[in-house]
Amino acid sequence: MVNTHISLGNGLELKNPVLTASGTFGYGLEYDDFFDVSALGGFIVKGTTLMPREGNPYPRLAETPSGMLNAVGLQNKGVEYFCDHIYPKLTKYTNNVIVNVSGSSTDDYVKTAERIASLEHIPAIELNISCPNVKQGGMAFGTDCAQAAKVVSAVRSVYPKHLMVKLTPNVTDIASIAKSVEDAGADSVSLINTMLGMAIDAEKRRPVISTVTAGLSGPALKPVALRMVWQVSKVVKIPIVGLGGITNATDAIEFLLAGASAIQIGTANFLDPTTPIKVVKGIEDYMTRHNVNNVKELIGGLVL
Amino acid sequence: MPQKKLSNLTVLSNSVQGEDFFLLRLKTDECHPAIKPGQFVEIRISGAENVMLRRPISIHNFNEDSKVMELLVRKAGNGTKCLSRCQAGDKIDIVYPLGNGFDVAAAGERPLLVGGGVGVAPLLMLAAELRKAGAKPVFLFGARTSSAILRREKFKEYGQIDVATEDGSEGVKGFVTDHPDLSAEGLKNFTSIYQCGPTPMMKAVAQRAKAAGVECYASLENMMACGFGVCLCCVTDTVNGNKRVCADGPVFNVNDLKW
Repeated sequence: MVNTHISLGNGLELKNPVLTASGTFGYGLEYDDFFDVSALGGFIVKGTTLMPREGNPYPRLAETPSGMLNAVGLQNKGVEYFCDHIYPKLTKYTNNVIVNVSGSSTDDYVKTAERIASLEHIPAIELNISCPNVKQGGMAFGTDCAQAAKVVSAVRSVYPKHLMVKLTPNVTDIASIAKSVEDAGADSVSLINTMLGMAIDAEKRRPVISTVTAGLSGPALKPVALRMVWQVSKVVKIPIVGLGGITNATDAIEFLLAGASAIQIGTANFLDPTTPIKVVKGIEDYMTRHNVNNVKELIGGLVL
Repeated sequence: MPQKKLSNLTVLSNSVQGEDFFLLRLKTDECHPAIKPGQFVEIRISGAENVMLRRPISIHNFNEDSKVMELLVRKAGNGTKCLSRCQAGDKIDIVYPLGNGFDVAAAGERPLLVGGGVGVAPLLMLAAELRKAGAKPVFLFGARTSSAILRREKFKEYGQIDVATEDGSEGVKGFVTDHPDLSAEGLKNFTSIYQCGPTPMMKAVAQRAKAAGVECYASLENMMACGFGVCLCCVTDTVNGNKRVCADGPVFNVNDLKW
């Protein structure tokens, strides 16, 4: 048996390095019909905000070459609804249920994180300072080192459990943002969120998506995400969770080799809802094939 | 038994229907989830240029005894064009069944089933269910021209077919809303309306239904990425906020829609 256990620190222990990305996995429950969700290292539920949000108007989606654009805009029923109505259904899972926390102000993030901290079965939050689809806050916090540090340290002071911070690729130097976030007390960083993009309907001369610009995800992103994970791994000591266009175990291994300690499956969940469990199995197969006993040997194992 | 399933289903046949449509007959799993009229499937299509996401297709018909599911599909873009070339024996990567389906209990004795173009697809299985429940459905189909009325012989088994064609080649010249069935007087004959078709058609029909006080259900066809309620891309604005067409719909009571 190969050892796929990964510790991301501060109490976040994964039985394997496979997580699923926020906004692509609902609340896990939607996948119960397809596979045993508890067999994953964990999953990250939909972005949760202090107050309910209706999100952006339809249309919110465009298919693009090897990818898709979305502008959902953090539609969710708010943290109180999550705690009262959704969380009780999630305690059946034996793996890590992580809540993605978003906000329009530092105060929003702090209050939401504080509320989630009281939930026994949630060992970590993923602080989303990288959503490109909201008018206020979101990505604005993640594109500036000082802003990023400020919100992370404010949340750090109220949130004692594992604090993962999700970074945006829409910056010149993602490594410096990652370093600021680490210095502000983050336990890990996850990268990358979607890249800001756009789609146009030439026949109608109109934007395809209601908000004009939107977040690009899917395989088209993978080379960019790999590069950023590799760059960030050079400057931070905290674990990196890599995501961006992973559709199979080979993609996942590439992220580990680039320096990620764990990975998230995102858009691929829409294409094949069983992707995450296939990646878990595929990583084990790769390790067996390459005589790798412990998955940690793969982290940053890129041969230059 | 799970409510939805990811499967590789075998194509039994693929037949051309008119210029732009085709009918796929698929053998479902021996052990399959319950399938309701108005539900849909998501098909993964490989080998089509710039096609990554699954394509949502409504379930046209399902026979519980033979386990055969039929899909009536319009060749709309690269994905469905590629799918139109599949042959008997091919395997189709499919997630099914998805969505809420039609509420048959609300039909009453004489439901009117309105279909525009390929929107007639989900009305066949619905009609079969309605007949089983003792109702006597009437179809009102709108199409560009007479030859574009799909699966006429099959629909005939379940009820009368009224027609509106844009070129006047059959039935009433114009849109379905020009047909006497949807006049204030005509609507007195019906206990409910179930409809699927282009949004402008469905909005117009909904207006007539509301004015006449007839319960009306519409099956929506928004762009979607996942099909099972997680991506929140396919939402429609309702009196209760944004609802997912894939999981909360695709069938909505028109009174709940902001039309």
